[in-house]
Amino acid sequence: MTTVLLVEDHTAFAQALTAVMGLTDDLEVVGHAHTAEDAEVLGSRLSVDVAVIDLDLPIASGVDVLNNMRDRPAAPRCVVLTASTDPAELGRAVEAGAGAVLHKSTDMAELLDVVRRVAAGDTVLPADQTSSWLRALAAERERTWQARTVGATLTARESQILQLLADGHGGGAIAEQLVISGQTVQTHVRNLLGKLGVGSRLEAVALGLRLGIIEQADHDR
Amino acid sequence: MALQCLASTTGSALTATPAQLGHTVRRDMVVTAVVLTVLFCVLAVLPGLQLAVDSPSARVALEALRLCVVGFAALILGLPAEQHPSIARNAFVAALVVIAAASALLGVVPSVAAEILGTTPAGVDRFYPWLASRYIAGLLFVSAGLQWPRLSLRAYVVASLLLLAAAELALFDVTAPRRALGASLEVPPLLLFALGAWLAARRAARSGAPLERWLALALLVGTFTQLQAIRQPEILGSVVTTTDVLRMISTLLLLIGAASQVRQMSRDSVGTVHLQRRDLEERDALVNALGGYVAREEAFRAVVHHELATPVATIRAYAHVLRSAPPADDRWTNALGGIVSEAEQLHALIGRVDELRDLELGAFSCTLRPVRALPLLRDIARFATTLSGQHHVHVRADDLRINADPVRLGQALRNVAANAVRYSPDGGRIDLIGEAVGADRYRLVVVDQGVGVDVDETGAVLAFAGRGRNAAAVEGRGIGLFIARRIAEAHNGHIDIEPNEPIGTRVSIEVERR
Repeated sequence: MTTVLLVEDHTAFAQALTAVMGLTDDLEVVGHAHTAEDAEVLGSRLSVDVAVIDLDLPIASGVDVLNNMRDRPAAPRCVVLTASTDPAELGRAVEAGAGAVLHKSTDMAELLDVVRRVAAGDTVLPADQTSSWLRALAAERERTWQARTVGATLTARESQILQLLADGHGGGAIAEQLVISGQTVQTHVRNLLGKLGVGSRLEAVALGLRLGIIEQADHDR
Repeated sequence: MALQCLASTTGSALTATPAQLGHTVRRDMVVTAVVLTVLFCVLAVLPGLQLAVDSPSARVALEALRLCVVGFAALILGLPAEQHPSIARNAFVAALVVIAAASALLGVVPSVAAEILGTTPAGVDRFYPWLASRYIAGLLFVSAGLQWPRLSLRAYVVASLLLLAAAELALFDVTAPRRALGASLEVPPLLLFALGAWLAARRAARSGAPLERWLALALLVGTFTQLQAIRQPEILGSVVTTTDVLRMISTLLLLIGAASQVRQMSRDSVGTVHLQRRDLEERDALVNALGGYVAREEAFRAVVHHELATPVATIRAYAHVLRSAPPADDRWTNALGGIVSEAEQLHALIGRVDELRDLELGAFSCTLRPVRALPLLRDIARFATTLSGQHHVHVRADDLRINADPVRLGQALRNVAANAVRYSPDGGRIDLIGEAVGADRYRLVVVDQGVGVDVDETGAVLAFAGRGRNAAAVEGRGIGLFIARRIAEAHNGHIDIEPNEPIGTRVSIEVERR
């Protein structure tokens, strides 16, 4: 008998999965954790062969659960079952040691089959999908790194002005808001354009948003 | 008086209509001409009023003043010429440079040099060198009015100065002519100035440019100056005459023209910068707003994808459980079949939420495979019956295979069938017809007995958010048929909507046969 721990915040879905696995002779759900903390407690208390983990959990994410499980002495095998389609997030799950990554729309028969195969020690990761997820993850890290590098070169004032530009303010409005002269605003803008290596305010805002140095303007005002 | 009149109208020239502008320019010219004619007549009747003061210092002062005024005008107008190229202004500046050069070389420099060296000034008493500068300036003013030849400022200035230098060298030692010849030699500059004035006035009436307006007046004064020069020939040397005073006035008018032109140019450029900045700010705001829409759409997609995926997965899991239990009776089996079928449908559609974007981008694709048409239409009939409960739905179809994506084509037909239910009275009949068209096409038709559609709006109801006039009473967004159209097109087919005789609407989707 393969013991299964469900880490899923949707109780109804967890119960449905418990019912589905209850119909089989070889799979048994021994626990249901709603959060990453629950999973840690249950994981240490129960003897679990396979953990079926949702990535989108309240507080800590499913990737934290994966990392936590991997570091245990008798580490259970992990199947990620998620509604997420964010390739970078799926890439993180693969990196954290998931034996399989499935979407929640997967057919029940297929899900059961994958759980059995992962319990037997297989890794069920389609090569092409996995590589595209990992590429997305690498690209995301690259962006974060760039943002950190570029963000570090901007002064606090320049970041502030870039944010105000993103909020749709013109030079005059910025000068008024920061209580500095229009000339000073111009100088700051020129400097930050130079640092970002762009030719216009529009490009600077676009780059800032892409790199996450600034936030999207609040449009509901 | 003319000056006051002009000063009061220059400010409003920009906002005046062409007719008003023409009127203003003509009025200024006439007033100035009348004033000058009166002056001319007075001087003719009372020749004693004509100036003829022999004062070397007054002469040098006048020339120096003229040099400063003209030089200043040339400078303020010439400096921004590179940013705002204009042939008229190039010629005008060159004329100012020529006048300034003549004043400097023939008036100020020799007089000052003579003063220092204690000799007689050379050139001040020469007739031809002065005359040459008037010819060249006159030609340049005409050139400004004609905007021809199209030379750069530098080319104009260099060519004019070379011409002036050549004339000076050739004519420096030629002695002054007799009075009659001297007077007749003043006639061509007179004509050039008059022509220049006319051209400038004509251009000013069209463009309202302050430079042209003041140039026209200055040249008008210049023309009368020449008349005066003909009547009272130049008294050479250190004598200051009425002609010299008139020339000074004309020069001042040129300076006023140059200054007001520069003022307007700077006002224009400030205005342009202002407009550009506003434009940029508006564009920024627009980009931000668009960014907001995109972000909201993305958030909506994520919600649909993420939040609906789990409940649907739950339904499917329970359906899986129910299926493995022993069936109670037919109703139970049918109900379960319905749950499973709709959950599958929902699941397939959620999986394609991403393609909503592609729908707009035109990159809408279907995975086509051989599908039997009859079961597909029966499925739609079941859907329509469930949706309505009141309509009589009939299926009549050739049982052939078509090339289709069953989920997608099913979605299109559901949209059409839902419309048929929505827009026809309860108890009405809905026909689902499948028929072969020629050897390789197949037509799926939904006919209802509802409010119908007008022939002239069949195109509009298939457009995004398009709705027919008869549909106004029923709630709807006009997206269903648009999606159906895109799906039909992705099946290498098309959708047609037409009135059904005698009543209702007939929607047909034509696809490939397998």
